[in-house]
Amino acid sequence: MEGAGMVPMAKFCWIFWQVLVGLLLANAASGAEDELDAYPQDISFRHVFFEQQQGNYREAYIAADYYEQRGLGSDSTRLTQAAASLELGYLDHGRALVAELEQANLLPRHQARLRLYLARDAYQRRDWTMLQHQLLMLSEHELDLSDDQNMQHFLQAELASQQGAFDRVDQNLAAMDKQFRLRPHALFNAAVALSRDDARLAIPRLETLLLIQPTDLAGFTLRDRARVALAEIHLKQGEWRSAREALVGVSAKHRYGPYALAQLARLDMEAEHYEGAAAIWQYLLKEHTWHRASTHAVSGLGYAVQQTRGDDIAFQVYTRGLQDMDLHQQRLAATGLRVRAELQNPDLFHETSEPLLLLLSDSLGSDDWLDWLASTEIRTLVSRWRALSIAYEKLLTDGENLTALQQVDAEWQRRITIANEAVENDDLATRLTAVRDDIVQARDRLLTTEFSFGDDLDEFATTGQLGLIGEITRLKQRLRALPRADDPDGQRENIEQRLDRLEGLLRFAVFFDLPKKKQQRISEYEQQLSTVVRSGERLSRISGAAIRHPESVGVRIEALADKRRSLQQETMLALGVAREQVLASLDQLIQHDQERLQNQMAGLQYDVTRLADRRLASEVSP
Amino acid sequence: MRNLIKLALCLAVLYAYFSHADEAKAQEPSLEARLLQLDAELRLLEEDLLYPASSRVAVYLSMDLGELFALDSVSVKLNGKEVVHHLYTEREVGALYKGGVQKLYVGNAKQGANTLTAFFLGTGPHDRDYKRAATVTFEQSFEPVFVELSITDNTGSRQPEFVAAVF
Repeated sequence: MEGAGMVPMAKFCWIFWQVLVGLLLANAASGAEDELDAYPQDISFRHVFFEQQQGNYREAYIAADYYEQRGLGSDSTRLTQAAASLELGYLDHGRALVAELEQANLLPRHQARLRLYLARDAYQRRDWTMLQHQLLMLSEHELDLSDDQNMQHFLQAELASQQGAFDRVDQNLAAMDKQFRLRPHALFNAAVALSRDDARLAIPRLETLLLIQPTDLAGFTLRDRARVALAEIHLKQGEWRSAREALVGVSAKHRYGPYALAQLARLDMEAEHYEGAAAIWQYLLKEHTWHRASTHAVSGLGYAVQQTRGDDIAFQVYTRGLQDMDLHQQRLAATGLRVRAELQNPDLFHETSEPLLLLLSDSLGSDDWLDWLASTEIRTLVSRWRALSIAYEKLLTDGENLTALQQVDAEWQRRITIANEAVENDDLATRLTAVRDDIVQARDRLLTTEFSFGDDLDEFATTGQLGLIGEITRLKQRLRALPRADDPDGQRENIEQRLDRLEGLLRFAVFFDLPKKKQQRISEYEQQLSTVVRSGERLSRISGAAIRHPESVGVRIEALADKRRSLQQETMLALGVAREQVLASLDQLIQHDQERLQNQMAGLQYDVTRLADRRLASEVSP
Repeated sequence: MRNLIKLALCLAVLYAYFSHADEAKAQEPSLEARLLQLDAELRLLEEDLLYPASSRVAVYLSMDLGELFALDSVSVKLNGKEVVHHLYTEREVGALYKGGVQKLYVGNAKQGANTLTAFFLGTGPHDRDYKRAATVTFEQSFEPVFVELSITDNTGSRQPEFVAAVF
């Protein structure tokens, strides 16, 4: 008996081994397919994911909401909706969705993506504590998309920069894809952090950044900015040649061009190449008169000219500079008023408004690495204002769409009413049933009846045959009606017999074709029955149309129209607020620049007074 | 003592009210989110009205890794009539490779039997121009029909496969 138990055991071991090998092979074979298998197979999530991956966050959000309302949503769909919310800047709403999802039973990969979204949100808010908390819970291997992994390394690097742990910064930079778009930013921010202790420590990272080939305008701008920063460090160390080398390649026409030119002018001043310096200061005053980089252009030019061409010319430069600054102050105030007036009415953001604002914000730009937020703040406010304007115009279009839908609905209701009346008044259903019954009866009669030669088979005869038989019958009747006196030879019987034979032949032909005719007739009845069935289905559809298109559609349209009107009012108010925020921020910047100008003018006034005193002294002295 | 208890109760009620009000306010979606929700509701309504469930057909497209076929464009014919022609951008193809699914078409089909044919144009193995078609017939009843067009890599034959199926 024990031996008998060994056979099942051996079989079990064999099956177990096969399964184990299969599992091992499956694990070995997994690779790129894991990426597709990682996601649930439901189409709704994958469609939302498709939009999100392209950066169509608005579409992704709307699609997720759509599927939710269709009852096809899932935690995965809501996760992507939360991500889209955060990307669109609807932070509170996105965070609320994320908070709900933290309680949901998500796949590990989705949990990881959720934590990544929270980490990015914390980073954007500069909440370093929350960022650290989320990153601690996130393992690199849980993220399956390379973009997400790179983002994780970027956030780790930013956190490490903030904490001064530059070894970790380097580790994460090394782990990041070399072409990842945020890698230069991580390098730059690490350089900024390092420079707080010792500016020289920022140099290697800035130099590494310069080796990265940019692929878009933001990349080129960051590279220029890094060159200017590097030059600034070298200048402060008195390393003139290194400073000059760092500035090579900065385009004079791009954002950091004026800063680079100002630095070159300073280098020339340091090297006492006053002619060169004067040329640069003059160019800056001409092309970038009120740029922040040109702050010291007047005093720089005055000094350079004083060295090369004497006090009198320098006096003219300073005096002219003072007059220009005074004029600029007035112009600045007037521009602020003009911008405010132009943007006052209507509240909507116009395409001409943004260039005006950007021009103004650029001329109020800053040469301090960390103060560039000032213009970024304006851009953020302008973006919100623009987005609300677009949304407002969309709401107006939605109003027209709803009106069109109301007309479509009204037409539907009208057609359904007409159709239902036709069905009821003409009693179509009953008539169709009657027709069907007649066809079935006729078909069954054919199927069950055995015809013989003597039966009346006229219904199976062709038209020609019937015509001939009819003609023969008429001839026979005429013959019988003929008086005997008109038939002296007695041919009437002979002709009658011949006619009878002909009729017999014709009737035999009909009988001979009977099976084929019967089959044809039955097929026709079957086709007619199919037609009746289709007509019945159409009747059902017509009758069911009212159920499938209930009057509640009209109610939904009304409800949406109300919601739209309410949102339109709210958006109009929000537009006003957004505009005021932009203008307030602008006013603040203008005031800041006015103060800067005042200080400059005070400095220049001192130079003018000093020169005037020297001139007076030289006139008075013998 | 009784007054003290009454006061405590009143304070508790007031606290609960205000904290709930704050919570409700915090949970209320932002204006922008509500604008998007309105968009979604409008889409739903449009779909229900213009493409009723009894005649609605939706076509989705998905791709495999894309090693054997680079997709350029897809066109779809419904009962012999072209209903959609789509040219693909790099971003769209990238999103498809990552597992996304594109909602290619939503429209109406007649009751009964319908034929849907999809034509795929792109670059196949050895960088050759590739044009293939896939056909599916489906029965339109009173429920919406979903058709999936899928492009998969057959590593065995080293050829891409194009399938149209109702799901």
